[in-house]
Amino acid sequence: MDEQRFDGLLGKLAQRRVDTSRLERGFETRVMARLRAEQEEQSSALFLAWRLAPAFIALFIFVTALAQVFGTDMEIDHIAASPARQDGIQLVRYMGND
Amino acid sequence: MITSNATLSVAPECWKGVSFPEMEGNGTALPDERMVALALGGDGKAYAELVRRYKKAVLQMAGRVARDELEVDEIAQDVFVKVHANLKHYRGDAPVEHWIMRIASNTCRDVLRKRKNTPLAVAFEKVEGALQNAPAPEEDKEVETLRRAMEKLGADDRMLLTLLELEDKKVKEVASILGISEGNVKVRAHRARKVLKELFGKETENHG
Repeated sequence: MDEQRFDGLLGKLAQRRVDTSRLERGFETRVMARLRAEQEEQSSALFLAWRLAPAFIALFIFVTALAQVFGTDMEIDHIAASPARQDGIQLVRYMGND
Repeated sequence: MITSNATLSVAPECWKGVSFPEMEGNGTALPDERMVALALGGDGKAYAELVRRYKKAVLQMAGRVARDELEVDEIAQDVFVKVHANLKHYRGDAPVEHWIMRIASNTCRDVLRKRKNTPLAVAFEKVEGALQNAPAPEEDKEVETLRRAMEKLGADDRMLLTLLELEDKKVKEVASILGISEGNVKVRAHRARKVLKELFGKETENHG
């Protein structure tokens, strides 16, 4: 197909415009309403977080206090307990360095 | 219910307390850059005026990629929500119109990319209620085939050709909107046209 004919087809396609006149009516109002709604949503989330903050702080203090009262002295050596560490020790023994 | 006269309280600190006496009237004569500054200052009227100025262009662009009227409205609203959220990032290195159209173009491109993942059944169902100006008469069959070929283009190529060929923007404008050099626009447009021609050929073969 030659360029001129292709350009002609593209030109015809360009003329096929969507009629947006119905959507244009009150569009600003819809956008502003959506912006306001999003803002309110954000501020209500912040407000909720602010209101719940004391409850979370109280819960944290309560859990910490419980841990202090009922906590055990037993400490777990995580490194020694790890299978990888055990494997390493066994390997060193096998190699005759122990 | 919010009216267009509503004022949004999104003023960044730097604009607080700054007054704009020229906005005492309806402000329609003010340049775009001033409207952006006013909108940044929390002036809802100014932002509504910006929306009023560019809604047609944005709706038209959304109409090029949307499959129904609802989607056109949704995309255009998304664009202006993004514009509002990014007002503080407007540097003034390009006209406001180009900046808004860049956001519109990016939003449309994202819609096209997401749509690639839409299952065929859903896509077909949506096409049933698609925006068509009129049922294509016999002589417009080729134009319809070209439209289908255009839908198969990659999102970037499609947006480039939409701006350049369908929205009839100049190379310089497209470069400013897409944020690339004019040379790059020309090279990419040349490639995109070539791909579109191939797709058009295939579509013509498939649909007689």
